[in-house]
Amino acid sequence: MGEKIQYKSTSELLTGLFDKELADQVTYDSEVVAIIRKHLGQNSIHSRAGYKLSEELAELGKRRVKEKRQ
Amino acid sequence: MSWSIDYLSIQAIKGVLVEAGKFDLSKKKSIALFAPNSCGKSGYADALEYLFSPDGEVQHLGKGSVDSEHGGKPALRHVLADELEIDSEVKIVLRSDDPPEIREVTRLLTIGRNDPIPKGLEDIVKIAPAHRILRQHDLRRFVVDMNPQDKYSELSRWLGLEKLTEVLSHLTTAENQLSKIDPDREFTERFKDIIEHTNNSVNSYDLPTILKWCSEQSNKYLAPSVKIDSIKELSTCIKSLQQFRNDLFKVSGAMNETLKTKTNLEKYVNDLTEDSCKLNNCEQALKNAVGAENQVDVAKAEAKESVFQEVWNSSINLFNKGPLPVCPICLTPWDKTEVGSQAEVFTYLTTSLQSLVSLKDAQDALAKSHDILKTSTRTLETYLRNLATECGKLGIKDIPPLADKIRSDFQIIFEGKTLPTHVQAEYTNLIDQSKKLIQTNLPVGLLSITIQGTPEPATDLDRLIGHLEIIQSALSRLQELENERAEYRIIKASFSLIASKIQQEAASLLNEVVTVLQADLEQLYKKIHPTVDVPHVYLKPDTSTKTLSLRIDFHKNGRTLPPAGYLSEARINTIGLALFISCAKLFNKEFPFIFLDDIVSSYDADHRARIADVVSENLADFQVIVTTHDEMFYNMLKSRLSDKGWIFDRITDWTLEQGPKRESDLLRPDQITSLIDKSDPNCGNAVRQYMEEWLDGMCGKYCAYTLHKRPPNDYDRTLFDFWGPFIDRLKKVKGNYFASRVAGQQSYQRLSAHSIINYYSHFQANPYKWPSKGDVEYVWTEFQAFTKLFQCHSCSKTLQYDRDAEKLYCTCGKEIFSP
Repeated sequence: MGEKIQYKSTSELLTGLFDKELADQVTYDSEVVAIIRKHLGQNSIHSRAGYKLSEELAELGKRRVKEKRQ
Repeated sequence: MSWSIDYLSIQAIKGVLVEAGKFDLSKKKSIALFAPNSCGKSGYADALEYLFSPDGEVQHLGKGSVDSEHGGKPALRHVLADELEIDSEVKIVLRSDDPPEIREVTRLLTIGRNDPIPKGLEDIVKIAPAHRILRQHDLRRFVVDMNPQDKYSELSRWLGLEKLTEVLSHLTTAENQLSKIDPDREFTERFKDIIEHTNNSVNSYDLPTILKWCSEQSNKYLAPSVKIDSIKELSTCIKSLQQFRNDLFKVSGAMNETLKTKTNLEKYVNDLTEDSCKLNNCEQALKNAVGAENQVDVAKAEAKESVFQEVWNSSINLFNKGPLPVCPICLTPWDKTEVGSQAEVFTYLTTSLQSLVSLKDAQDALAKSHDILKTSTRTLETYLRNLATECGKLGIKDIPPLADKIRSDFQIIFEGKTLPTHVQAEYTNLIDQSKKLIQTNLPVGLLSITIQGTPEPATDLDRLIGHLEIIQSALSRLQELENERAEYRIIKASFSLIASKIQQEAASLLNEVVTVLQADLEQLYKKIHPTVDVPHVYLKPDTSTKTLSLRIDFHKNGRTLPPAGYLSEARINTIGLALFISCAKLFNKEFPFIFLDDIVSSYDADHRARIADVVSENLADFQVIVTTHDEMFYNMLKSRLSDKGWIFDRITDWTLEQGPKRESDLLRPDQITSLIDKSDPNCGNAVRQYMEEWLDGMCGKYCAYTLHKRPPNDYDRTLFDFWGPFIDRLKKVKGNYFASRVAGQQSYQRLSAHSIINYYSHFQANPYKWPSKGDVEYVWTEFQAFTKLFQCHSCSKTLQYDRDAEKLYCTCGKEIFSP
């Protein structure tokens, strides 16, 4: 039935990215990666995942400022 | 795993009521249905589209109600279904051979919006996501009518990449939101405070300039003069000014209650906001308590079985007394226990008990830090209460309710919550509110308080102190905002880098798939239109704009144009058809089924023949349902596929009460004779098929063993598979039947001597090459004569064969042979 295409599913693509390329802590901020994975790397994605993601990133910013101040 | 449809039943949907909706596809898997217009054939396509639709939508009917322009889903239900009380449903039996599985699924037509696909089809549709029901209007719709966004969305769905599109969309949302929460807006507001309270003397956020202004103003009152180089020094300066102001009041004898209250408030502000102040104490206590809670979790993980502490304490005491022959708990000899020896048990218990001690220590530390957090909070509450009272005395109206609200929230924060992490977010928020109240709101309130009867210099000084307090608060916040802004920018840059990586990978994946798809699409297009009008077809997906552009090279490489403006209707349809078929071939391998509903309307005979080639050659591994009102196309398919496991049915009529009237396409003798008389090119196939069916039936009736097994490969049979066994069986019939009644007949002799018995069946277009029609007529005449040998002389019924007695007879009981 013609050539068999072995293309990745979305989950395979994302899991591969998070486990390999994005796990490089020198190039990528591991906390930001973890937050993105938490919101977008799961089997089911919340309908407001983009908003929740940005809120948590903003919280991360505030937390880091406080940590630096202390 | 590859699924196919074994059985299909459509009931009370569109024009199909009960009859004519059942298809047994277990033996022959594909079917071509010929029907004139208005005979209900598209109802089959609608029923199957509904069956496989994730949300029960049939696209061309729309999502509207019964009164909507397209009729909506209610139009699926047969108009007599209610009256006859028949459920509208589509039933399907699916088969997988590897691993073997049979799945029966029924989808009852639901008119409501909540109509999810049945569980048994959910996974099949996911593993085979491409469009499988193709109609003429779908072909044009994709190429011409859909915008690039819709094309992209449709393609993503076929490729099973909807989730990826969703992820990319959320990434964009997050990026936009991050831009919005940039603290620039608050930064501008706080800087306005500085401009206002420096009496417009400062017009840019430059800390040394602002502090210099503060120094100059303070030095009007202070001796020796001061030089303020930091916000902290500004705070010290303010305290000096406050002291000087108080001294002025004392000297002038104007010290009064208002000033005392104001002084108290200033002290609260200092106590609450300076380093090692009350607010900082609370923040630190929260941090310590959360840290202690984490330690407890770690210790708990190490001491997994802490509930057995008492048992372990007793065991240790027992083991310490000396060697025991068996385990004292289960009385099993040591060498037969899992641990193996008393020594091992002792080591294990000791380690476990040590873990329990660590856990106990961690729990104590948590309790202590929790107590400190509560105590710090109570102190803060007291300050807030006093602050509200003092503000009330001064007539500062907006502070007390805010302070009371924060205080009451602090009071109930620990209710029902035993762990610091349970209150962490809310507690941090209340601390932030407290800071805002004390550092931002209170200085503004204090500035508005005028102390009556004060000496002139003290009034000016008091006002300056108010300004400096606000400036100090604004500068502190601006510094925080600057840090936040820097941090946000770092996080946003990190986020963009990661988002960009995901977007790149998504684009790369999509391009990879589309490249293969494009090649197959071009090949199919060129098969239907072998001219050079379209050297190349391009599919260009863009994951950032979520668009898919479809372009063609028109008569020349590089002259890349949209197909709608330049191609004929037929060619546009071909691009759609090629795209749909390519997608189904590439992405529906796990369920290779396709329904082609009247797809050749815009084509001439030559192109229909090429589409028939595509169906027979490019969809050879597919299970296909084709409906057409074009008899020529139907016959083209039949001539190519009648020996390839296809069913050919005709719908000859349709009535509202009965639905379509479906008939097998196996023609009667008089119909075959009529075809031969009209020199119809299909007469050869019709004769061959009739002969096969007749001989197959006779072999069964006469118990003649044939190598051919009817299901599932009946299209592999040839006439020779039946002819030899049938004649051999006839030779065994008693009474010298074969020799006396068959062997001497001209029809037998001619048929058995006819060396081309298997060749004539394919009509040859060129009569000079092969005089086929004459040959077909000859064979048909002789075969009809041959079949008459097996009819009763008295009643013309077909003779019966008694296997045990090996003799022929007729149910009429009369003479079966002519004298």
